[in-house]
Amino acid sequence: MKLKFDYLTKCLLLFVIAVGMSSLATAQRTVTGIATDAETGDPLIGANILVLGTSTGTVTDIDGSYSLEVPEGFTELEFTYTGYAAQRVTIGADNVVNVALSSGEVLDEIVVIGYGTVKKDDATGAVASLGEEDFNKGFYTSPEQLIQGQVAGVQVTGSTGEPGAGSSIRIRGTGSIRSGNNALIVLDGVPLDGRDISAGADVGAGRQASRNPLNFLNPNDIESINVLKDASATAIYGSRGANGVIIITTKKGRSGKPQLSLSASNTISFMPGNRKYDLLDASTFISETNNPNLNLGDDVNAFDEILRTANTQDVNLTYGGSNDNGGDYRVSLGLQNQEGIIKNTGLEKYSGTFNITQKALNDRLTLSGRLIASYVKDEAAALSENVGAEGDMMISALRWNPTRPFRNPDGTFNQPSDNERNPLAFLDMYSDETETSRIFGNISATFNIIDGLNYKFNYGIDRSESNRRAAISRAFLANFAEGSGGVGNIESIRASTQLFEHTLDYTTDLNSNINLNALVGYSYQEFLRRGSNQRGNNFLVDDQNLYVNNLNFAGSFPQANNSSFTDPNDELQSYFGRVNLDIQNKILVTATVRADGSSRFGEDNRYGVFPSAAIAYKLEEEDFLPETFNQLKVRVGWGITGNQEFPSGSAQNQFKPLDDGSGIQREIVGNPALQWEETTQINAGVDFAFLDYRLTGSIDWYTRETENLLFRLRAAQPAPDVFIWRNLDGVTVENTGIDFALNATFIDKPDMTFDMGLNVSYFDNQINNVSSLFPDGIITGEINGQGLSDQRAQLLYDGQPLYTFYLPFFEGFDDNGNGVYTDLNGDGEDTSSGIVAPGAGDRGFTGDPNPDVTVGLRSGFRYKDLDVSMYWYGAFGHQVFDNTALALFNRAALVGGANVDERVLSSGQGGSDSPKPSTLFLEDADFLRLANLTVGYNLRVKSEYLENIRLYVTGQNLLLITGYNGFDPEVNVNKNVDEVPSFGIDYATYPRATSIVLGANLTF
Amino acid sequence: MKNLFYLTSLLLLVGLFACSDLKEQLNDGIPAVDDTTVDPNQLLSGAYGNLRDLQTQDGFLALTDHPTDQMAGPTRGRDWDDAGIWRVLHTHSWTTAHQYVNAVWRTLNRNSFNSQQVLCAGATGQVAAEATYLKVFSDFLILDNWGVLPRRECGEDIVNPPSTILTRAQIADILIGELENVFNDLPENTAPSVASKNAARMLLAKLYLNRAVYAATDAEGGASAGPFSFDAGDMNKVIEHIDAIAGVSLDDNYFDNFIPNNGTESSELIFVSENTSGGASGNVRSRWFMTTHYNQNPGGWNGFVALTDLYNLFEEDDTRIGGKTLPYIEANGSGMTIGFQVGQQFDVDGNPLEDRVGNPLAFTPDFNLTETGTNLEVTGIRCVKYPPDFDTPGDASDNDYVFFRYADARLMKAEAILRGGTSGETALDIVNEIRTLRGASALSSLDEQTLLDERGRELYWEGWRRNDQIRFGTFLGTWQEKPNTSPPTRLVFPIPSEAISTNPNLRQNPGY
Repeated sequence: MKLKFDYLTKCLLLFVIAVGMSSLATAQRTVTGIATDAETGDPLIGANILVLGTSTGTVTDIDGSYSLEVPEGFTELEFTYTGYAAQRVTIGADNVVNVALSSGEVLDEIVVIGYGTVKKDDATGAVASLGEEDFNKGFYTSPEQLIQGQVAGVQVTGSTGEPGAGSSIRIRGTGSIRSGNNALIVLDGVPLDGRDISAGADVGAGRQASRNPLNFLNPNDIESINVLKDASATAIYGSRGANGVIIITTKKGRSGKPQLSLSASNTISFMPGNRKYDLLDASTFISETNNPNLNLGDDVNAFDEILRTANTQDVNLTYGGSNDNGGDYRVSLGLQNQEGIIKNTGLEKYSGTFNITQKALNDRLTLSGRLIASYVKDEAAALSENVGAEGDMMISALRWNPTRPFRNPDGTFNQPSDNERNPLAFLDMYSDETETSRIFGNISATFNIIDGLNYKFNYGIDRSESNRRAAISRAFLANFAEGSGGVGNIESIRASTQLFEHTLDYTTDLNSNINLNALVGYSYQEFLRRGSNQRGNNFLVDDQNLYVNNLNFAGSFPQANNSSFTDPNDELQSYFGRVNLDIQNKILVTATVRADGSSRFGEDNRYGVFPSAAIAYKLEEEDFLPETFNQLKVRVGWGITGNQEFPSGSAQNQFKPLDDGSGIQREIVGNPALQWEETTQINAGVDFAFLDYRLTGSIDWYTRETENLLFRLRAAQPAPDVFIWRNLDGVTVENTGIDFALNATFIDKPDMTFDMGLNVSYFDNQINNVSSLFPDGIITGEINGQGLSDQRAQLLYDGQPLYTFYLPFFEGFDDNGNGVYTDLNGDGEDTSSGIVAPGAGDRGFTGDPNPDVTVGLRSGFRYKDLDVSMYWYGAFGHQVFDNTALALFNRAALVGGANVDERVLSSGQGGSDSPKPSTLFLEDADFLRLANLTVGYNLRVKSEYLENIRLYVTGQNLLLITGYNGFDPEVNVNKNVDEVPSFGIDYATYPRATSIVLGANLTF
Repeated sequence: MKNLFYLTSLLLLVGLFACSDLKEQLNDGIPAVDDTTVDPNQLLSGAYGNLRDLQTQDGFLALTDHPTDQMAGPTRGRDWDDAGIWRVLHTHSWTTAHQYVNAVWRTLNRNSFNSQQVLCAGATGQVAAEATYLKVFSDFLILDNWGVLPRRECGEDIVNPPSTILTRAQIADILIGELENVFNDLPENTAPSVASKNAARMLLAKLYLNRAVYAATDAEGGASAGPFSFDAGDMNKVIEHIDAIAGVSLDDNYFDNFIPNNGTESSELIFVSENTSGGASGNVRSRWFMTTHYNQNPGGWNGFVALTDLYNLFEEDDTRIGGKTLPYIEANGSGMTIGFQVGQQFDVDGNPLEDRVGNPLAFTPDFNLTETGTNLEVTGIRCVKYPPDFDTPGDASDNDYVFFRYADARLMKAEAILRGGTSGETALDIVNEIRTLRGASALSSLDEQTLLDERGRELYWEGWRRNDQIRFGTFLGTWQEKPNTSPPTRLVFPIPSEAISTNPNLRQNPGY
């Protein structure tokens, strides 16, 4: 703690010095004027006026007029108003500036980049900016879902359909083989720690999927999401910029009179019937099994028994406005109560935000602060990512003999055996609740030292505490590793981050042709993480809720599962700078550099330097370009970025106790040379606009190559049986692609608008030189299920895309109904069981889960107060492996008394053919989804109190066009092997719901 | 100019801010500055604890018993296919990527390394002697299974490959020397979970008995299928060490060696991996789960079977065949019998059990490595060598896992005599002493085959069969569900390819 106080005092000292300099007060002049609508001449109320180069500004009053104190040396005002094009006007000698703003053009959109903003027109990198109006409509719990499918080159894949499930966010492909591949999320200037903040210990039904760490944000509080895609934009984030950066900005109070708004919605969700497996009904089951021992007399559908039609409520209350001094404030409260479509699952969220900006010292000092507090309660069922032969609730429901009654005549659950578990008993005897509280806050002070020079101090804190209580009753029949006496488990994780940041920003005209903007900064960020696990077994009672409420009902406490950890202290210290040159408003040059020092890095490599440069040429400013072009900007950028997602402590040798406390051993082999992995990216793009901005768009080509890949290698024996983190020499990952975005406005009339947007991305990904270090390649893609222990489906290998499937080739069933697989190596034997180097065995590469093309299509139509919008997205050219079908749907399972999908009946498979991972279960996963369709109506209420009522209905996931046989082709169950991530494997996945949202927004 | 002044002074201030030296502090581990950071006693406890990892069914057992004429893991429809990972063990067609071979390579080498860490930490006297024993024990098993031994010096940077690789022919002598050096510092015979002088005598006897096997190499320097020329001097060493074993005796009740409280009940145990009920324990439960049917009590995974060849070796009255339940098992409401299970199985009240599709749960001697029939759940003889621990639910069972026991020692002595060693006893008398105790009739004569059979009857499913079959020259032959002979390549396991990729100095065993 001492360190932090040191920092705080130093920061305050610096701040006081900076303020002291301000005593050199300068003369001011008062500028007045009026802002009007260019077409109608009506005054614009609440238009924003800013003195360029300062943070001084004001808003127009009810007559559209304003008065503003302009410091000496500033000569330009910028006028902005929602829905109107911004305008910059030079202040004349008479100190009166009147403007007429035109609606419709959104050219002067501001995009948020690292440590600042830039006019979209002046951006030199590949940056996408989405405001609230662009977000996906409907009910969402996490911010990345708002932009799913909206940005070319950004692939958001929800891991499952479970409320609160995590997502993988890939910007321009996957660059790493081991480390985190998710983009860096920066919330209001504070980079978030991307690690999981909730726990998922196995309490008897396999490992639980981790929760989405971004759930703490209420989508209703988000103003904009900006995506930095290329290295010239992300290099300012140095060792964390390699996977792209997503900058989330929360809402502030709007200028104008205080506004109160209330929004509420109710959502009905259900599993789309056509997405279910075609399980046998009781009569087909009886006739197909033809074994009287298996006909138990009932007629049930266990899968439908665990499903429900779910109800979700969402209520948001917001109050915000601005004050006379250019400050603003906003308070919001959000309540979400989401039921999952599987019984006993859901998410409750309470969030509150407070946002304030205040100006002082003649508007030269801007203080702003914000606070986000949230509480999320996840309720989970016994669903797992990697359950084995015994099965979780989903597996148990899918294979439940449809003639077997759920209950015995005496009313107790019918629990036949450990691997014929009763799904209803799971519902009754398993409970699992995770509570996560998170507080995020930041305070910043911006001080305008002199003309064009601003100093900013930013302090941020992000702290979460998560507590998971999971228990399974001793009355549940199972052979757990810990016996059948029940399990009660309480896990907690606490994570926190603190950020101290100083930046200095200077803007000046070097001469009449060249404008300079320069930024330098220092930042220090510290991460802490600790947790504990308490577990009891052999409980004295049946009621599992008592287990976690009072762990002393346990008869024993297994030492190996009673544990705690505190990660090594983890610090990141950085220096960064950026220079922007604007030459004749035609050529824009950006150069950035960041030096990152991290305590994680080995002693030999404490600091990494990450440079970038970009240049843009605005051809439309040249006379030789025809008038048709409203915009034609060519951009080229280059940069080096890093990734440092490996656990702290990996660079140091460590002794740790054995789990059972019986002694101490060497457990971590540190690598003092450990450093970041490095990605070099080149981007070339064109932004264009034609026909009075009716047709706008951009096209970008990029190539990124990652080297010094972070990976865990087994220690060369004799040694501790552990992995050593290393930077791989010679192995590289290449991603190349094209991002294409096009927006067209077909109708743009006061009463009617109609526009469409399309984004298309092409990806190509490959890993090189793997075999130089790993002759057999790198294995991943864990397969689970009965008779499938230790099976794997994916191999990283030379020249192949990441996560390529590496499988036996299924040819058909022979006369005995046994599977026949291609004898690839021609040795006459089936040697496809173990994975050996390509060419040696009977497995081959066959497809990969990375889409070649992703598409998003948006369309909006408005007639007077009625609006309709819809959004489609899809992905093509990739495969998904259906581990569920492999594990469950075979003739042998049916013969053994388990239910199967109808496909088994006609497949020709015999009752003795064993399940085996092969191309039989690899399916094309092309899909096109109608993600949402919204119809809304604005009732303009002429009331003293009420301004507007918006009513809307949204359908989410209304239609899914795909040939995939599983629940949903958009799936990514965590099937890592030795922590090498996998991608594109479906196993006992929580199905994705179709939802109908009915909502109303009231503005007072 | 004024602007520039402000700018530079502020830059300077910001620059001064760089005050973190980024020193990483470990919070939940002990930084291993050098090898002597931790008390050697704690490291020694850890090294003993490591032995527990040899107890699971998907580890050491896969190497020692599945490839032999005693055990198989048949595929039963949707169960136990695991893409053939068990079948290839029985048919000797494993590859360099076999996951259990890889896992055991790491476990044994890790155990050896952790034992050596005790020495590197400055242990002396008894602590150093026990650690040396544990190291030699692991190294012996690595030698036996792979015929090669990588080694590190104290203080080596583990990020790099090990400095030394010992070859097959030299290892046994080195291990014998290391163990003899510390012998006098070992404790007298205390609990079988401690590396005592008895344990060292047994280990030395194993090394001497197999020395000729390791010394014999084929043209390529790989393992040789024999026949081996056993040295009379080596055999006398075996006899000498076994004769010196003190304080243990053959136990009247064969299964007392394996029951939950075997550590105190058996008089025969020489070296075990100790398991504590509900506490520090390996997964010894897998020894019954791996074979029993789901519908038995305790229910298992309906997996491994004993070969009929093995079952047929026994006389009817031989107590080692089991076939009876034990009072404590009945008291726990189970009708399970111990030892070999053949035919109809019953619950505690004598009601016949059924399999999951309603067939009588009657285990048949015949089985196929890939089962196809409607009776696929009940084929194959089951074998419960470790009587289940009912008091400890879960896998932290109490039964200590047996590595060395006195009956093995006595049979080794008989073998040493048979192979040219000198003793006041005869090999036949020793064998008959054991047979009589176990309720079997005395043999009239003894040759290699009958001795190997006797070792099979006494030590079945205890992890020594592969070692025995190699020494007796039958390991490459054929037996139930192994129709083809195997090439000498199969006398040792392949070095895992992942091990070679992290240590380029390792040479793959010939033939792989």
